[in-house]
Amino acid sequence: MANMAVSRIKREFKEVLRSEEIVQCSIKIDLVNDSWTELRGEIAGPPDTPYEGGKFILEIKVPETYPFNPPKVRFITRIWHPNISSVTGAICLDILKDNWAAAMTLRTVLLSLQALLAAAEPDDPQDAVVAYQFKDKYDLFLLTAKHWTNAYAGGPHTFPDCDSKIQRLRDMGVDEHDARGVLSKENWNLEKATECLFS
Amino acid sequence: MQRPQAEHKQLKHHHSEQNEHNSNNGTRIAASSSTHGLDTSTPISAHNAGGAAPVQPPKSLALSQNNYAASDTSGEEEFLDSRYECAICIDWLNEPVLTSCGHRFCKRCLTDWLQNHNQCCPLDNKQLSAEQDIFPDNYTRREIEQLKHKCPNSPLGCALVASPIEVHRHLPSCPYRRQPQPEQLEEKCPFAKIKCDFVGRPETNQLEEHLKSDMPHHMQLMLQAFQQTAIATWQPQKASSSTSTSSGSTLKNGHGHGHGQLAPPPQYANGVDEQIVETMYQRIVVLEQRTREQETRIENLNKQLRLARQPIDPRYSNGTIVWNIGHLGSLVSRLRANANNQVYSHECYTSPYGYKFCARLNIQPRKPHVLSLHVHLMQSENDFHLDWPFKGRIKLCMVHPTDASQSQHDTIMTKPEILAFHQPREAISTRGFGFLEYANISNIMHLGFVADDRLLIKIEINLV
Repeated sequence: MANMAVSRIKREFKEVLRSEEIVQCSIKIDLVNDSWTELRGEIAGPPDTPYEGGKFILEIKVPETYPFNPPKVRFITRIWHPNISSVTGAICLDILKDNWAAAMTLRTVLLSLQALLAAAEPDDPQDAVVAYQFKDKYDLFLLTAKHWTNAYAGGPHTFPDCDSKIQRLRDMGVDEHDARGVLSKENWNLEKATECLFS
Repeated sequence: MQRPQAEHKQLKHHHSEQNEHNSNNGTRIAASSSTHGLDTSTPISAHNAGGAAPVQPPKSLALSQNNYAASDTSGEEEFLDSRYECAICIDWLNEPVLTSCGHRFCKRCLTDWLQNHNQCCPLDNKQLSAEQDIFPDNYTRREIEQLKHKCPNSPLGCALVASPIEVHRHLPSCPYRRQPQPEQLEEKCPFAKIKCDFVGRPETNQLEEHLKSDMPHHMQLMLQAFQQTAIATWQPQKASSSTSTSSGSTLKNGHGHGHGQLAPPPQYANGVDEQIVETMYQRIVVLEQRTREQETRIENLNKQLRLARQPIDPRYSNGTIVWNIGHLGSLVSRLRANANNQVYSHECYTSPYGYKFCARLNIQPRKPHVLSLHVHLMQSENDFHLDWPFKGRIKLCMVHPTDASQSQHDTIMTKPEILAFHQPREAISTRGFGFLEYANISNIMHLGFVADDRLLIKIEINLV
């Protein structure tokens, strides 16, 4: 990798390690390999959001042209959010695309993602289904996002009703993640989800 | 006069830093002890020589120290002032330029950025034109030049003190820089000591694979090494002394017999030991024989056990199904969860060459509180010579575990028009005959039919 990218990532890594956020355990960063091209980030779900109490893992890939081009970031932990794909974890955030600036750092990217969790942009969605639910059935969106946070990110809120519906689909031989995805999409209507899966 | 004083201070600083390192961790100890070898004239080395002789750091430590260097926070960075930092490379401003919006960057960094992207300031997105909005910032350049920093290799003896930019330029050619160690990138097999010449790359799992697959090779190397040590440590005069003792008396006597010396350690090529080896060998043969006998016995017993566990042939059931349904609670919830879930009993034959039946339990989604019980004909090898439809009497009995008088009896007589008693076309006839509402589940529980989470249903099927 280009010399500049490596030396910058090394410095940024130290910046994150020294930052206040790491003391508050709200962001974290780990090395994945020795070549500094791939890192693993972790952000805590911001308070007063359905993601509160969850820990979300991110995959960060540093391109050779860094910092002139943005790092490639994706959620590894599954999450229900209008600007994040519920299937692939791809993120729709302007600063990771056209609005990237060389003065941004891993720390600011992680903090921006945390801010994105707190303030979704349903009008510029990555996951249209989630965005529709967000705009149309906000209560169901909150429930689904909390349930996903509980199921994948270790969040505190459990929803026995959701779990039992997922179990019903699992009894029919459906994979747990597929079952959760389809039920979330169909606003937890078991009949519609079954129809969607078996037709 | 000024200069030596400064140097003295620097050394003192160095001294205290080293003490701290010594107490910190193993990797740092390796770094500082290698320093001792370099500047023997400093008071530190005298101080250390008073203690113990400088110990050569083991190679593994030196290697790990080198890895550690990647995250080493050398003094240079501690002083990095945000005023003199380029936001693009997060390093000292090199040939600083000032933008019209009031931000400083390295000249190289900003040109690269403007070439790669739309013409905006990386800090505030203001439009920038490469010709009009960027000026060399000589004031900041002089400020940085006036800062004096030590070379990060100063603990290793480099005396250079210069501006951070010069230090940066000097580093790759610093005579005291750590020599790059190519072996660091290789992973040696732990059996390298006994001449395994495998070398892997640390980022792969080659070594792990090698350790798994080359076990026989390692065993052989170990045997060779062992034989070599045995040969190397073999001392013929000891052998002769022990042969003399063995010729005179037994080994035990030989202990006391020597000239107040200890008995020689066991060696190869020694008469007494050969004897021991032989007895040991015989013993091993006997033990192996016995193990084999035991294994055969265990196998035979296992076979008997398997035979004993085989269920009774349903052919000889005389048309009776005694259906012992365990874990009733969980079964009921499973049946309720899905109308397609059902549970079948084991099969029975009305006579050794007669009709084959089984029973089925399920719960109707519309009536989740009642159990349905049906009897199904099954295809059997006898079907071709039997009379169809089946004619007979089916007795169903739900057995009360404690009070036989409470057991629930039902009898069904077959009728020729019922399709369930016609010759089955599938392994289990799709049509069954019985009760859609056989028993109310809460009643079963309530009246004590369920003991120990088990329910017993007995079905007798007879021809008439």
